[in-house]
Amino acid sequence: MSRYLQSKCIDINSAYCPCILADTNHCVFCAHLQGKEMCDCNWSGVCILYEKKWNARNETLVTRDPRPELACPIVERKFLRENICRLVLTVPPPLAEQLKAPGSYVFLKRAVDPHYFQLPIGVMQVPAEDKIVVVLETVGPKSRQVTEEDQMLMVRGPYKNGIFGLPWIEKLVYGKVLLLAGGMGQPPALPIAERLINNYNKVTAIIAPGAAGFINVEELQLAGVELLQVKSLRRMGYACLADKLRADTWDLLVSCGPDAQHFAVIDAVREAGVELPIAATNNSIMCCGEGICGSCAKETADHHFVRTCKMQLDFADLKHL
Amino acid sequence: MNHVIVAGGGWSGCAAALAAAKAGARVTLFERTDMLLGTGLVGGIFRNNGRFTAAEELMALGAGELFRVMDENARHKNVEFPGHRHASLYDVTKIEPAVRRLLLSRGIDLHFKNSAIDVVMAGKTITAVLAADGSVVRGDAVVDTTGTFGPMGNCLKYGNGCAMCILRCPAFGPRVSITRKAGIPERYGVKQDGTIGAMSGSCKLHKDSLSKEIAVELEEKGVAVIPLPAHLVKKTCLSQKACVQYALDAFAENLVLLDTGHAKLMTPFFQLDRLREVPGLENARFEDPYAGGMANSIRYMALAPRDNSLKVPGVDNLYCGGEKTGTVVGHTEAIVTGTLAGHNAVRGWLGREPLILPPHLAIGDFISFVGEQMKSDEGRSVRYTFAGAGYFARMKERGLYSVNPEEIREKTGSLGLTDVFACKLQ
Repeated sequence: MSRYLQSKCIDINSAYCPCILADTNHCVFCAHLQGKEMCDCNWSGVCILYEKKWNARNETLVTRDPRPELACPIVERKFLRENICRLVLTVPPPLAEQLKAPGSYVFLKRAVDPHYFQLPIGVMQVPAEDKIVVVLETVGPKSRQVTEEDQMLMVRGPYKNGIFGLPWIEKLVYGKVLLLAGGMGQPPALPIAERLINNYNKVTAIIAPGAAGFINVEELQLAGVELLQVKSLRRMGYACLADKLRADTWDLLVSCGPDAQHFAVIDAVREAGVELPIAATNNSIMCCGEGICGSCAKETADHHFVRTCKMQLDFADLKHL
Repeated sequence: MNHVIVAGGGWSGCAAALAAAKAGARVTLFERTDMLLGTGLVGGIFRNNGRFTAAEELMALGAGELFRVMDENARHKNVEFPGHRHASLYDVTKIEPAVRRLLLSRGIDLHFKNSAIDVVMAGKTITAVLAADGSVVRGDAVVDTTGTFGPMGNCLKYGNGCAMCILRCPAFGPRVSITRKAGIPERYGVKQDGTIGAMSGSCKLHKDSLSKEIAVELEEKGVAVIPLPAHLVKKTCLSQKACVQYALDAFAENLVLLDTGHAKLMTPFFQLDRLREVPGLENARFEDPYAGGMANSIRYMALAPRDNSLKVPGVDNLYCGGEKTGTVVGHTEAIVTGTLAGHNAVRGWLGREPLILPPHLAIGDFISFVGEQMKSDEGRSVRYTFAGAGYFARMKERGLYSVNPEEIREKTGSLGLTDVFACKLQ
């Protein structure tokens, strides 16, 4: 598999493109829709300027909110620990279907709260055609409000860019994958592992309870992942990773967890002297999910700012903090 | 042995690849689509007016292979049509495989459906080219022959939209300028009215859709001139064309068709229902562009700065050919510039002085004259070709136009340049 990953917008080729950014001349992809004079895009099979031209003929497409908020009943709420809550929600089947893709996330809030209480949260499972499972940690006011509700939540979605390096995960078949997940990195690891195993890949995971202090063994085991449980990634996990990298050849490495973990993984891979694509969960602070607010912007090694709610890129290309 | 990477497999890229291989380099050519020749796949006119001289000069300079392939695949020779003499028309349905065989026989490594999309730089030197398939190919010199047309966004913004032309961007992806990727700002051509770009100047009709009389005339003479009904004569559209040599009143008052395998129609586009009002064209349909009833490709979107050796200033090992060198028109123009660029790419790597063709030759004069013109806005609003308009007049004025191959060979010899492109450089 090629180590090279073309950076592209996650919404291209979907019903959500062209988006509001194209209207304001801030499209992350099309040079014309950035106000430039000449074509200069990373071709992705579709001309966004053209899409915009045809969409403009259909006013409803432009004016309606493509991802409206929906009232969704809570069917199950379970506290895995004092501050870790597992929610099962009933959502419309078309939305659930779209949330099956690894890296999918939604915004949640209580009906009574204002819009700035919307909490971005990754989807861990889609167990039925109208059900989604999320696991969240209460860390601040938004997550606290959401976990206090037991009847109904407002759901906005689907949003897609929860993982950097998604094309690698989607393309790999009959490969060998090493997955690292610490603490709250475990919920997003599940759909990734399921997708990989579905494509006949062998997945070995090193998992640790992390700061959140919980372990999600059963579901990963059920999915068919070979598990290596450690008490701490920092103290034992990275050494274990280095051993694995030396002992075997791998096609892909997936890091699910905080950015510090991703950087440690990148360093370990470099130290082991292997060339390997590394997919990593996107931990940016998402506020609007639409590329407008800029809270998720990150700097790349070559000093560009990218809106990570929209842009697929190689995590290793981000500025190493 | 050094490695020359050619980006773009149009006429110019093919010429650059051949010239570099003959000069002793290993050559890799990246072509975005599944066929060589680019717009040459729907072109066909050569040896008309001053292009005859340029073709013979290049043969005398030792790089006549591509013209010989064209001659061998000519459907018609010595054709006359308004404003043009001694034209040859190659068969667009046969030429591509013939050129492909020629390039393969010279050991050129051809990569189809894979374009060069970026470069790796070390200071001011390109060390490698990144291909669309993700591979990184190291090279010692790069020739940018990616052209200046489209892609779709530009055709939409500066033209009437994607006309589904032979360049087939939606299927194979857009043109990517290597010069721009190397960090060199580019210029663009303008129309007389100051707007950006120019529309390709001809479209092709399916020959079987024409009346029997026209088909027979085309088959026999290579050309059919059909007077337009008065209400269809529109002179204004000529100024939008890329091909100035056909922007004559005769082309506005008549429909000029040439037999290149298809029936080449010398106008950028022609509304289909209007076209079908012309006697003999009642059933006409377009062969290229498929939407030739509404648009054609937009060109001159990415002109590279360059010197008379066709090196791009600002990068140590980047050369350019074809339309990248200026607002030039035609296969002959592409081949002569591509040949010089490919040859000089090898000279540059060897540390030798670049070859600059003297103004005593039409090719040398053309390259330096166009280079000078590209520096001004007025200059970029004009199209240049050996076949007509301003530059052909200049050729005649300066005594550069000749239809005598023997005379051209002698002149080349007296300049000490005979077979200069045929010799392997050490």
